[in-house]
Amino acid sequence: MDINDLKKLRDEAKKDLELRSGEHAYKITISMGTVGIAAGARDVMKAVIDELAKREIDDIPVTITGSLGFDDQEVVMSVESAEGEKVTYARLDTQKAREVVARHIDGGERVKEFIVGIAELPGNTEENAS
Amino acid sequence: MNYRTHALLCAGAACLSSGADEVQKKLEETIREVDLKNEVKIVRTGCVGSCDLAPILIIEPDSVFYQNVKPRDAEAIVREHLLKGRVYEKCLIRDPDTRNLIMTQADFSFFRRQQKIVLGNCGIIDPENIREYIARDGYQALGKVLGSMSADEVISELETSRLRGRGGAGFPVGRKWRFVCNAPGDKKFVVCNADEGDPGAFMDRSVLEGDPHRVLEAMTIAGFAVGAQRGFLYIRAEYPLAIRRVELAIQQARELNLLGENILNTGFSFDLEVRVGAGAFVCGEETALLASIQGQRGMPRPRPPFPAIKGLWGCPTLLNNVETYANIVPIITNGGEWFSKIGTERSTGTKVFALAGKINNTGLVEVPMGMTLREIIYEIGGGIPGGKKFKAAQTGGPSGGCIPEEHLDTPVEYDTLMEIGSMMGSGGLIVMDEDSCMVDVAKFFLEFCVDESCGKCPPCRVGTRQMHRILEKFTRGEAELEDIEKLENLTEMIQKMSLCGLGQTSPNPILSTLHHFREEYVAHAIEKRCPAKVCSALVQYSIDEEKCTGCGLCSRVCPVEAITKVDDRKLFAIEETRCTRCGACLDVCRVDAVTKTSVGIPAEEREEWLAKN
Amino acid sequence: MAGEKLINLNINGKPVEGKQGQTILEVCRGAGIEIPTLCYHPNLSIVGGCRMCMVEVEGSNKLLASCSTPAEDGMVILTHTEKLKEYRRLNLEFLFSERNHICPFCESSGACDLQNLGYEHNMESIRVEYLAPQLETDLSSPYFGLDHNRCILCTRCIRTCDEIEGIHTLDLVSRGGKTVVGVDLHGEFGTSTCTSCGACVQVCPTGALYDKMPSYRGRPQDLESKSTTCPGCGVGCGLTVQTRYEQIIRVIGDEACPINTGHTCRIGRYESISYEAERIQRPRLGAKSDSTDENTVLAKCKTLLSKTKGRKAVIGLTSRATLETGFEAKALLKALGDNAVATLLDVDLPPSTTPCGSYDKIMDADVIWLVDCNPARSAPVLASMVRRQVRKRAAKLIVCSKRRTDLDKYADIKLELTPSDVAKLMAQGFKDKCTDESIVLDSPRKKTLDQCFSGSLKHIVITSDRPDRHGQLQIFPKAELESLKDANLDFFNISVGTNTLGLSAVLGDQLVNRKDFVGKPFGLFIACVGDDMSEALSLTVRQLDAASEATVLLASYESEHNPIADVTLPVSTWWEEGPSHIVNMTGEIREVESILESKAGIRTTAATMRCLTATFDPDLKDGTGELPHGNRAIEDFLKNVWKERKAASNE
Repeated sequence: MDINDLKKLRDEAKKDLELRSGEHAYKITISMGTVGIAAGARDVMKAVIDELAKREIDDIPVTITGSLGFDDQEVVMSVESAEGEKVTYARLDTQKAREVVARHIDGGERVKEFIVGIAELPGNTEENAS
Repeated sequence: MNYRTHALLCAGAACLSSGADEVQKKLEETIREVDLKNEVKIVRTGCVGSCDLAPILIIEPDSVFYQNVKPRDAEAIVREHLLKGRVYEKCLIRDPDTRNLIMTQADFSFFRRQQKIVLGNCGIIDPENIREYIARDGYQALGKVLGSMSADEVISELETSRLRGRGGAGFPVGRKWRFVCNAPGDKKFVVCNADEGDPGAFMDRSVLEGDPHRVLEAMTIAGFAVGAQRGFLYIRAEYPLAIRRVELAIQQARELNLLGENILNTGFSFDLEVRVGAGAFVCGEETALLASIQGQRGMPRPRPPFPAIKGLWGCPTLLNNVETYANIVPIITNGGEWFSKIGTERSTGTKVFALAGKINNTGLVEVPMGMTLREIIYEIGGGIPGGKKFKAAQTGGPSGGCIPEEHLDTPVEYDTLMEIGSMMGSGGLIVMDEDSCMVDVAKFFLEFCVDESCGKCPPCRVGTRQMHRILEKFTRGEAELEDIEKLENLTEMIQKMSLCGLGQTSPNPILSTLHHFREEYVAHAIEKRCPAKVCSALVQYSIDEEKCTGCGLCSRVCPVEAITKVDDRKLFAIEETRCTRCGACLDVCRVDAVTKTSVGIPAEEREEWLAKN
Repeated sequence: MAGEKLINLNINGKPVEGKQGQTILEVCRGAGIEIPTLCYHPNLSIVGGCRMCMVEVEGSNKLLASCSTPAEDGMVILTHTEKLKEYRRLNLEFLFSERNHICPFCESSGACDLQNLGYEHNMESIRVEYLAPQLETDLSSPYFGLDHNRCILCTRCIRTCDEIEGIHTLDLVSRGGKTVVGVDLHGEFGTSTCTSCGACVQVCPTGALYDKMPSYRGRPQDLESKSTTCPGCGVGCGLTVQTRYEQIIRVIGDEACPINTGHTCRIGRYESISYEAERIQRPRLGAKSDSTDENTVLAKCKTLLSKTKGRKAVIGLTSRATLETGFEAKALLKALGDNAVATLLDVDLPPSTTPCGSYDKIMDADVIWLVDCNPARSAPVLASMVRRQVRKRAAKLIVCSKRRTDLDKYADIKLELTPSDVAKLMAQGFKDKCTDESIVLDSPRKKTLDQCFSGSLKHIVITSDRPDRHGQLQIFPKAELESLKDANLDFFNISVGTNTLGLSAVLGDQLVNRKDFVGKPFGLFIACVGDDMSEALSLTVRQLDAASEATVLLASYESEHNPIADVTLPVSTWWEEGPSHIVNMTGEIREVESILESKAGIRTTAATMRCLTATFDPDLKDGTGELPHGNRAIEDFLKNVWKERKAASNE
């Protein structure tokens, strides 16, 4: 191994540790309350992880949280950018979730059609900064 | 494989001895049960620092900090947090003042004021996996040094940083490297002193256990800078985990061509070996350590010649301690200029302390130099438990001294600590409250020196025992005022005449307590009274008739049957001539009827008392 | 040159000159400023442990140990300030308080460094508590005792054992206040690896190590000291012999002798003095009860000689016989007639009798080859020189012998080869810079062996050419190697026997090997045993007595091992020998001094021989006149002999 190999190895290994560094382009949070799980949140999460892996995106943490309070709109998932811009998607299934990954995470475009209804978000705007 | 969550389980010595292995087993078992195997990765890290909260589990990327995790908590954390995303509150810390739950390390006062350079990787990476070290830019500094720097540039960088040796005396590191670099000779050695022996200190152990590669990388850089071909890590046998992890790290580094022949194809060759110390405190003294590496009895020799000129097998040898080496990589990476801005003018960088004693948060802390003792003890350490009063802080181990309350606002620096009669030492910081007798404390530290003297020179071998005899007279109430003077005469001679640092500094605990707490010595000598009620020969136990309920618990635990019923009343009293002052009755009494006093002989009755005795 | 450059210091306000490379202590002592020391010894490494020699040096905030601190130009030093004196006194009080230093009961009282320093520092009382532990005394050695209660842990004995004798039987055990000098860690002298050289006793500054035999028989101030040469072997160590009331009290190594600089071995120190053997007082015929006057026995001798006329007469000499005795033997041979020859009674005659090698070469070598010899038995001080080099890691040791030797355990490599095979191996090694695969060795040792040949390391081959017990000569074929150009190679031959070289120089061809007579009847046997009590010698005397028709015995001591001779004449011992000389194994002339007055009526062996010569042939009553007088004359004589021998061997 020489110095360049070492740099390559570092860049490669860095990806494994991205989770612990706290700086990411986006952060995905999936609501995993009882209702969410019943609505298929676990499958949605697996799909998200799978889709990220397929696209070789490895610096996006996927975390879960308790119920966000939209029991009728499950499965709910939010995508938060590094700048703090948070978009919440609702009524997702595995297919829709994969699309969010493809278009929002990979493409940088908000998937308007899945965004939770503005009226249904008490005190929030579509592009609220939390 | 991409994991969405890393569960960082602290595998430092404190956590391991509190059952981290069982916690890990339960975590793995439950993760398998709920089928999160592909989403959650368990990482065993080095010491997180807050050792009183062991075992510690941190869940990333949420950074939730769980403490005191038992196996059944581990199961709950998997089922609640990892599966459902609900934080498991039972294992969160509570703010001692507000009683609010604290979620992350960043919110915890213990961590908030710390600045982690030396411990930068500890608790974050898996020390047994070189990839994780490399991911955190590990070995890049070595690459930079071998690829683009000259020995002189490396040393100049250290000189700019004004880093001082963390072993205790604070010798400028750059200057030391320069000496060895300039010393004539083809064969040179680099040695790491990991014979951390101060009672209660475990900074070096944590670094070696939590981030061994950082030390190996620094030693290799040192080898390049001073022109050495081989190095030794002298680790005490009491640190088996550190030895194992360092040996594993050496093996991994060799496999990746980061140690051994022709490192990183730059033509530079350097190799490291572990030497295990057999448990003598004096082997932390540099010349004794070198003798021990050579297979001889670990005894200091007079300097000059200094190891930088004549060290191992007569060759120039660079010797630094673990924490010093742990600072090298950040300095090379970020520049000496960057480092010199941390801390104070005379003492740059940070210092790791092992907080212990009567303090709420014990464990390992890293703070910038110049922080005051008050900040460390009250803001990071969380103050004294039980609302007791602070009495003194002991720094520098058996070579250090006790710092009283009036000096609490002294910034922690090499020179300021020396000025107030203590020293930085390797970083032990023991807090004592009003229940500590300073004569007894001095005796404790001296006892350590008596046991650990190598036996080579009379001032240390005999002198420490003579001082100890005099202190014993104080604690037994047999001392007279002139014994203070006698003690001072001995301390002066022992400081001046001893061969090595161990002997020269052995009187320090006595001198600093005599200086700051002389009245306690006087009380022991003249009034035959121990103000802190510690010295058993000078305290009396009694039972308050008003409070005693006659439950008889004290009488039952008394090992010498000194507590009996008082006539026909159902109350109890202690027969003083029989009492051995073990304190068992005080511990068991539920109504606080047992009291401990140290009355002594009031000065006005002293003449009479003297005549009688 | 380093060491010669002069430096200027200021000591106690006075300018003092020193040499570059000296320590402060050396400069002070050179200038007559006495700094007290306990652990310092000029022949040993510096440890700086006793702290007595601390001095103040301007510019240093610490006191410095003068024994270990190099003196530098311009240093300003104070050696005896009030503070220093007080510190030193307290240091002494610590030592006195630590163990039992109650002088009246100590063998070393009056000759004790600790006691002397106590007086010097006006230590009229001890202000600290006596710690007085109960420690053991090791009396298991037949020669000396170790009383831990008197030990101040200066480690002089340990360093001597390690650095001079090269054994390292002693070292410290435990730490702090429990530290003691340990023999083989936790053993005792009697059953240890100790060689009983006694060097540790000689350097002990207190009464912790003391000789048993001389104990309580006199303090140094009561004793008279004289220097002489050791009778024990051919190394020729200088000894200092201490006497009182015409008795030898103690023997120690002579510090001034450059060969051994104070060191000596068990034989020299303890075994060369016979405390208990009974002296032969008067001449006699036959058994002890038949003592008579000298004229009667001399007449008897004459009768014996004429009775055996025509048959070979043999003079048997101990190898301890001095050069002077050798010349008398030569005269006696002449008086005995043409057939007479001389032989050595205690050793076999070596095939080569020219000196070979100097001790410096051993101390200089990088690789030491010990070929078929065991110097630990035949020349113990030489063995200590070898061990010293090996222990210092200054030299590699290769022991080549089919037998076990005492130095095997110090060897880097042991080769079970004959001398000629060793020579072949070396020849190949020097030529090819490595050895071939035919040497059966594991790889690390093979590597070590190859390393010895690579580069230009200094090799020395130590041999001891003499017949083995079957009479076979196992000579190292030196000539095969001497032709090698690249080899940095030297030789050293151990000549067994105290004065073997000297006697052979004097007697030349008339000196033959003792084995030649065993079982072959001959005429008169004159056995000059002297004070040699060795078994090897007694055995030869008995064998030759059996082969001879008549025996005349010249001996100092009664010994049941010696045969009952026809005539016995008392002679003086080595210590009564008077000024005389021997030649050691390096060819150096060593002087033997008169330590004790000879006993009334007892002559030296040489003088007794002269009487015999005069009795046999009155013409030779003044000897042959060949005896060279003075060292210079002896030296010239020897040079001549060696030259002739060299010339003869080259032919």
